[in-house]
Amino acid sequence: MPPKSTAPKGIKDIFYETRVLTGREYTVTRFAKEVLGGAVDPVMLGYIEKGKRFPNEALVRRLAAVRNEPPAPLLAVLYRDRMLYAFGRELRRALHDREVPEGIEDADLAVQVSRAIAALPDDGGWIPVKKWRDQIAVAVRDKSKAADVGRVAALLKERNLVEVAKGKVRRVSRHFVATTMDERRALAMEFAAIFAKALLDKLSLPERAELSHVRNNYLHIERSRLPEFYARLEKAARGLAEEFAADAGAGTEFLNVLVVGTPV
Amino acid sequence: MTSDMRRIRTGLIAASLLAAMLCSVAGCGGSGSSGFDVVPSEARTIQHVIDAGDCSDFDGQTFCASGATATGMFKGALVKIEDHPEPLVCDDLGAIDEKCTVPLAFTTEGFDRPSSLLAAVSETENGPWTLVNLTIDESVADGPRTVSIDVPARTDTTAPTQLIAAVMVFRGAPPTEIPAVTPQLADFGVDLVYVSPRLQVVVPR
Repeated sequence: MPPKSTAPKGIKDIFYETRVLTGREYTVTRFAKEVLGGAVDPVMLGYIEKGKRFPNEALVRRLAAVRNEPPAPLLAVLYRDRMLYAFGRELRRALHDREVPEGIEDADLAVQVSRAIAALPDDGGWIPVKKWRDQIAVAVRDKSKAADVGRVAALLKERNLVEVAKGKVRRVSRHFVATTMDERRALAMEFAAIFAKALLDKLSLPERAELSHVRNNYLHIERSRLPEFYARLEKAARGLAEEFAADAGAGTEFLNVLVVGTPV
Repeated sequence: MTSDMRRIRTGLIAASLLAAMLCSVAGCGGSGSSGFDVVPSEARTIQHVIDAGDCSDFDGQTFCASGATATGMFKGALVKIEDHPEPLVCDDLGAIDEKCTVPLAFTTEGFDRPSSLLAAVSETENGPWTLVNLTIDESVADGPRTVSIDVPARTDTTAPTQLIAAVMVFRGAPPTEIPAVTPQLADFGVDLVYVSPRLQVVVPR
């Protein structure tokens, strides 16, 4: 059985999973009417599951009741998705990139790339390609996009980040640089998603607050020493990541450490 | 089986068991990073000096392309590695699977303080780097000192072996205990590194 996806869930995923995983083969129409009590039009529910519309807060609270869960974590997912949607819209304007359809899935590529790199041992050891592809597949929540696994594997090979030989793959380099417009947008969306989630966990979800670390360190620094400061920050972050990296498993979290330094 | 071979095999088994045990305790996971800019690294620095033909510093060490005049503590000195636009041909192969090596000559000039040399090779800028034999021609009285290193080639493939050779210059003597293979050239504790252009070595069939 393929491993359960640990890719970040959007509110659309939660609506879809709740309907499908109840095990009663609900159609969108029946779920809207029988489970959600007609609180949402079936067509609208279809749009919500596809990520084309956001549910309102009342509907999210209703879904939480159906799932027998407190509403706050689901509302936090909704708020994060809305923030990302707004961020993505403004980002496209800033990048003069209006051709791309709006959505909050732009980060998918970046998320998959990070999972693919972290699936390979830091010591450059070889692992079977199949095992690696299974790890990438974990980051592909939408199974209709299974081709993404091959796309990510090919991208990392093309960038000389991995080496493939005799059915095995190993890490050659560990840092992915977003170069195309699509990659830069995806990475920006991923960074925004990480920051939004950390803030929301910290501010609105007390039970998750301890899992995130949010801190601002500030100082006056000579402008000429900024490159040295960033180089040492990078080295320290990399050293910690390599020291603590463990095999993915039931007792691990996929930790993202977003490091930002900027003069204000 | 000789007792030496038994000892080696026992050692290898013990090492692999230890590695498996360490992995099960500490994990052998991976990590990575993504960003909008390249991260300065030894590999990037080597890539840069090969492509630009100059010298560049990284993490307290100076990396130079063959023929570039050194900066830093060896200012004015240079190492020139023999140019090989065509692939090097490794034709001293004795038996199948035997290691095949071909000499690669280089000259050194202008080192006016005591220094010593070692050489290492890697298939890519990213390492790992393996120490190789280095022979200094002591018969040269004046002019550039001629040195050659043994560049190994893979004998288990028909494709040319891609290689980068690195001439490592140490102020004084090199460290007493130096590993045979390291992930990065910096791990040899070197002061100045000269890297060759990207080489190809072919083994005739």
